[in-house]
Amino acid sequence: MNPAREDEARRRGRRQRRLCLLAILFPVVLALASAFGAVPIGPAELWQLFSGAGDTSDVVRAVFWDIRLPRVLFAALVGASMALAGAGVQGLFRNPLADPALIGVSAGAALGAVTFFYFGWQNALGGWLLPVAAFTGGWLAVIVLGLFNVGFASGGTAKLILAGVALNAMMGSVLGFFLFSASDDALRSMTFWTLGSCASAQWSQVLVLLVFLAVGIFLLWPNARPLDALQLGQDQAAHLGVSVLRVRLEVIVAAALLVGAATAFAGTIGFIGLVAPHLARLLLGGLHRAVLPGALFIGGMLLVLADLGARTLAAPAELAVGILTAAIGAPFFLWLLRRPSSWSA
Amino acid sequence: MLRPATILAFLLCALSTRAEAPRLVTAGSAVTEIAVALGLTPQIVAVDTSGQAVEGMGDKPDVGYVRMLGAEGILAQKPDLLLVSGEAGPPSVLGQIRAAGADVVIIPNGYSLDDIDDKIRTIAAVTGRVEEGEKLIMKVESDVHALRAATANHDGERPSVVFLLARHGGNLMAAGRETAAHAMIQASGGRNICADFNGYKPLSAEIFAVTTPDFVIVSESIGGDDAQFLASVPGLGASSAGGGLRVIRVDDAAFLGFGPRTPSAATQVAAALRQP
Amino acid sequence: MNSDLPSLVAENVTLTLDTIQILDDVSLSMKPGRLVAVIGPNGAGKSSLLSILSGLWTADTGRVLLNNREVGNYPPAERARYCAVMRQDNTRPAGMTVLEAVELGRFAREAEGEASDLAWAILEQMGLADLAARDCTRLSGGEWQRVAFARTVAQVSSADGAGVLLLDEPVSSLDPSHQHELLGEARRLARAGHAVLAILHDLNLTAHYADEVALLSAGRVHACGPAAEMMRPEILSEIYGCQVTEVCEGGQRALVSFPPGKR
Repeated sequence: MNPAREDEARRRGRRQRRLCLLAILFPVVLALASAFGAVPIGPAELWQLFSGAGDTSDVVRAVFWDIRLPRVLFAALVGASMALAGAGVQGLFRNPLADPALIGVSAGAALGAVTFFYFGWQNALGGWLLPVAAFTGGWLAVIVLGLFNVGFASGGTAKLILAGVALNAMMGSVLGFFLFSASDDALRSMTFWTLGSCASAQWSQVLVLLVFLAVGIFLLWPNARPLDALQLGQDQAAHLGVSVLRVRLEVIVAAALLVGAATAFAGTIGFIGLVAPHLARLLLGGLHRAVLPGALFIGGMLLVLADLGARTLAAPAELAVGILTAAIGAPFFLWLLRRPSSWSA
Repeated sequence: MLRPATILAFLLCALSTRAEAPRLVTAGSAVTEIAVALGLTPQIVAVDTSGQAVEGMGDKPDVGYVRMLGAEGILAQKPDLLLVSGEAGPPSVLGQIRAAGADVVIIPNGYSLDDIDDKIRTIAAVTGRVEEGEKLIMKVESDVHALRAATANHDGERPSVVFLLARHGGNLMAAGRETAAHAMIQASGGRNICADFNGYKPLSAEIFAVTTPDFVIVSESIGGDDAQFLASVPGLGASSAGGGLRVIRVDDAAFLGFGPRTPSAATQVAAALRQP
Repeated sequence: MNSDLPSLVAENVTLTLDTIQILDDVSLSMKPGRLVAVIGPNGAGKSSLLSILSGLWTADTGRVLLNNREVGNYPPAERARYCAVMRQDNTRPAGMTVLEAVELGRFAREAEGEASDLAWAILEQMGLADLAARDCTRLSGGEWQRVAFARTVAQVSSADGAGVLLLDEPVSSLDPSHQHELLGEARRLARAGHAVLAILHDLNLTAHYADEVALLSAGRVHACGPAAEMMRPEILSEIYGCQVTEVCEGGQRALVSFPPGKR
């Protein structure tokens, strides 16, 4: 057998193994994260919580089942959604610096949320109106981008990116106006919303996020191969048989759903959507069949770990999770970038 | 201020009346101040960051910023009762704490000196300290009377005042209407020159182009002497050179908190405003 | 029904972009077994013609028939099974090996991972096997061009019939020996029943490998016919606007162009 073919086979094997490792690591990280928190719950007590045996106190039960576990799952789902959306958008734009924020969904969601804070409606309908507003804002932004952008229907992705930049700037100025004219109280709420947090996680939100993640996977998974082909350029992909417009539409809709839902509940959590897909590519190579699930696992773990830090490092106080995503992800990212041959050895 | 002897008396009283005192977590500086003034110090197991500055609270666990509380961190302190000011949140976290079996009482904020009585009354009622509460209310009310007396026989025009808040990064924000600072300037007998906008706005030199204030109120935490500070304020350097402008430094937790110390802080400012 | 016989026919195609007439009444026909070369000066409309022939762009008037059916009526995946295109401008996929890039040629035919044996065979045949595990971003310009050609060949390789190949300057980055190798392979594919079109600039390669030549100039087909008739110094001098001369050396003919003003 030709050594190059052996190399290639080894490479495929390594990709499979690393992906399996991530898939195993993901639940392990989630389990470990649920074992730690401000309220100490020992292994024996954890066992009792799951088996129902013994007599754990009501508070411990409430902390574990109603606060900690939904929060860990919430963080995993938000991180996974942001990362999956990021992987799709980066593949679509063939741009490693592309971020789901580029299609305007984050700024739109922020605008929707800030509008609600501005008018003081954030607690309406049991707090559910705020995520709905944020989600709607995110979607409006994507639709406006689609309507305004000729390049959406034809032409290059550069136009789409530039239109996204312009739309983001526009929404940023409206956001700035709201921030400027908001009352002190509203201003503080807005600021904390834009920092992002998993602190208000609830089971109902976990369920909603799970549904959105499932829809996102359903839309993105069949586009893994077309996204590979798109790496050769739009026109070449079309020659290979890719329905470029359909791929674009599906990826953008998926990204908007994923980021919209995640942002609506958790606020704007940056960095994961940008870096998790990169980490996935550095570990697994460029094929989307591996990058998409890899990014999903990495993004989920990254946010679970960051949120673990947010809720334990300064306990009983909370840290802003946005600070920690960057603090955990960035050094790891730099280390991987520095390694001369992380994948293509 | 309460004397240690008074606190001790309250403490003995508390121990004698209840077998098991509820464990308290307080958030919001006014709420914490009131709780301490009611003699609840031994029962307080944790306070928010702003509460750390309150007398005797420095070594209590810090549950973080009042708007960014965490459910599990607070529950780890095994509280029976949470006393939080109106801005505390997020709401869902308060809900989770309630669901885990701790009582949560939200003390509404208000920018009026009369609201202080309501806060005290509520906190006293939920902690079973009605008697101490009434005493504290009487003290606060006598402070309010002193303040009214200090500002009542004030002749002529009210002195013009600007309240400046230093945000991190060194940029200054001026307090407009619907801020605690605005209410306090009014209560102290001053006139806020920034009453034509709402909330805190970044300070621009133009504010002083229309009206030059007689007084600048800032937090006592701002470093440097008055001349240095005035030189650093855009638009004030020129007018302050004349010497007509004076700086009043306040303890912002007392001055802006609408807690038990607020009326006397206002009286001090009122006195400073009336100095020729 | 003659789907076994690949054909691509352009009839009276015109194209205007932003008021600039790009193509004017262009007709062209590709048949199985033939290698057609399209040559002409820069800006003559060669790449635009390729975009229209491949169905990527729609002509303003006229029509393009792929296997006797309007090319615009094919769903992209079905069109890709009959017609493979190698463009000049394709970008390199990062984190993808040469083998994986060649497998992408089978996008419209097999599911991912099912074409690696075929892709491997093509790489071996083209002498690219040693590069199979190399990341695409670590290839030289010429190597990448050969890989792109291998991918295009993979796209039309089929047991159930031949296809159409459209190659836009497939040898522009290659050394002379690889130019011959690649065009030789293109001609072999034509002989095997495929219909091949290549946009070329090298006059000698055109004269040597093309069966037919279409001379494109200012959006019009200046002349079209057998290579021997088209590749004549006086015709070429006229369309390129510079002196092209035929020289003979040891029984071999070569076309040479000289700098203007010298002779």
